[in-house]
Amino acid sequence: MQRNEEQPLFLREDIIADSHQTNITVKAHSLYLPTDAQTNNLAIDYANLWAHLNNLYATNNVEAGKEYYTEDWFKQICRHYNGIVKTSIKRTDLKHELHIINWSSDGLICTAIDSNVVFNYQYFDGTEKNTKADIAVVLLFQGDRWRLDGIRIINENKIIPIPKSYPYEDCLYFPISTQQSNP
Amino acid sequence: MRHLITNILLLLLFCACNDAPIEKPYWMNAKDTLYVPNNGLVFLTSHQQWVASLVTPMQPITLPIKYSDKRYFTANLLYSTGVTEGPAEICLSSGKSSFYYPVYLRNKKITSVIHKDYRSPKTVNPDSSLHHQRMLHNFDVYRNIVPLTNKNTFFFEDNIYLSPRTAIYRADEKLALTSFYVQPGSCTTITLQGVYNKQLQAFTVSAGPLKDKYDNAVADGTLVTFTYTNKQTTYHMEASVLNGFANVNIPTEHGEQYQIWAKINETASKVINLIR
Repeated sequence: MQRNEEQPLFLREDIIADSHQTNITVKAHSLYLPTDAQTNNLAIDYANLWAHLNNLYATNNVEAGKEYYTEDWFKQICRHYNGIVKTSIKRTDLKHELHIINWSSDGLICTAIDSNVVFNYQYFDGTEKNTKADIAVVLLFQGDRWRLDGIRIINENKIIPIPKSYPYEDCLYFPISTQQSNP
Repeated sequence: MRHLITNILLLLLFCACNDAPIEKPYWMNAKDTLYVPNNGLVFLTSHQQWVASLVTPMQPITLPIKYSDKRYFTANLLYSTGVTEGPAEICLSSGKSSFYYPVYLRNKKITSVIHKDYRSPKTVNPDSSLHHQRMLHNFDVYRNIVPLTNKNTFFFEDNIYLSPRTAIYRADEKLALTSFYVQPGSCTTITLQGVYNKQLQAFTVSAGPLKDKYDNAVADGTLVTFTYTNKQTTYHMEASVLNGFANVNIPTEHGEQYQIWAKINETASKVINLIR
């Protein structure tokens, strides 16, 4: 019998997740509310999930983040796996506002809208862009962590830096559409 | 003269090292929304060595390229079935040059929707509550969350009340994984009967049918304690419920007569007399 020499997860170092930083706030709007400990675990796992989704986006390495995917989601991304590649776009998630819409009373299912997600894209030619997105996610607690089971990018709009003359200093970005309506 | 030749060689070397910049290929059949799978994306260019990829919101997909002639090439999307929908980029690279074409990515044929109906808790006991949490959402076959039918939302949850009838139910009849259970509750009344069995020389005592307040048979394995006395000595005997009944045989070789009652937790039967 062929033995799998892969170390169990708790012995492995997750360099991708460990080197990832983002800003996540979690708010619950569900009938059943998670405890603070559950909310904290969700935030940690969700941040790690995005570390791996960004890595998947850049490399198509489906294997690296498999501990953060359900079997069905893993099958979906393997549909387009022909080996690891290196794309010329790097995506970074800067900010998340995770709104829990449903939370199962047994704490095993979470549906959420991640609103005002700020992404930064760096292109090979040195150009960058920032976007703001609303994303629906279904997360299942399997094994000892939250895993992605399905996703929907509801919208994603490019945002541009505010001119220095803009009076509201606390706003860093605003959508293009806002700029267009205020020429 | 030697300097002149050296300078000419250096100039030629410099020119060789500074290729003319590659122009961005013109996308002939450009569109804002790209449906996959697709016959192909046709690009007009004078350059020949391209690598094409479709960078979906989740992962890059390498696209095979076919050069039609010296001016055109086609990036094939026939094998790009089933993607995460959303803003994406077509990326063309050649050497150190990369060009991007933003598109909105959609799947062409969605043949079916996966309905998810999660229930919590998995097991309900009518002694405590018949309340059940139900959470609904839908996926397409490529794990894109899609709005719920007749509801303009992605997610829905409510509280429902289950039938008190003991059974194994399924949220989705076809999926065993969606099973949930309504267990029988506690026994509410105990009916006791006893008859003399001449062959065994014993009283055969039967408690049952043992039912909960919703008329469900009490769970198999529930322990029934039979207490019987001849006014001098008191005895206990225990039996497990099977199919709503618990039975014991009480020996009476010397013609003893007893008073007997049965008990499940705090529920007790009436006292009956066992007489030959």
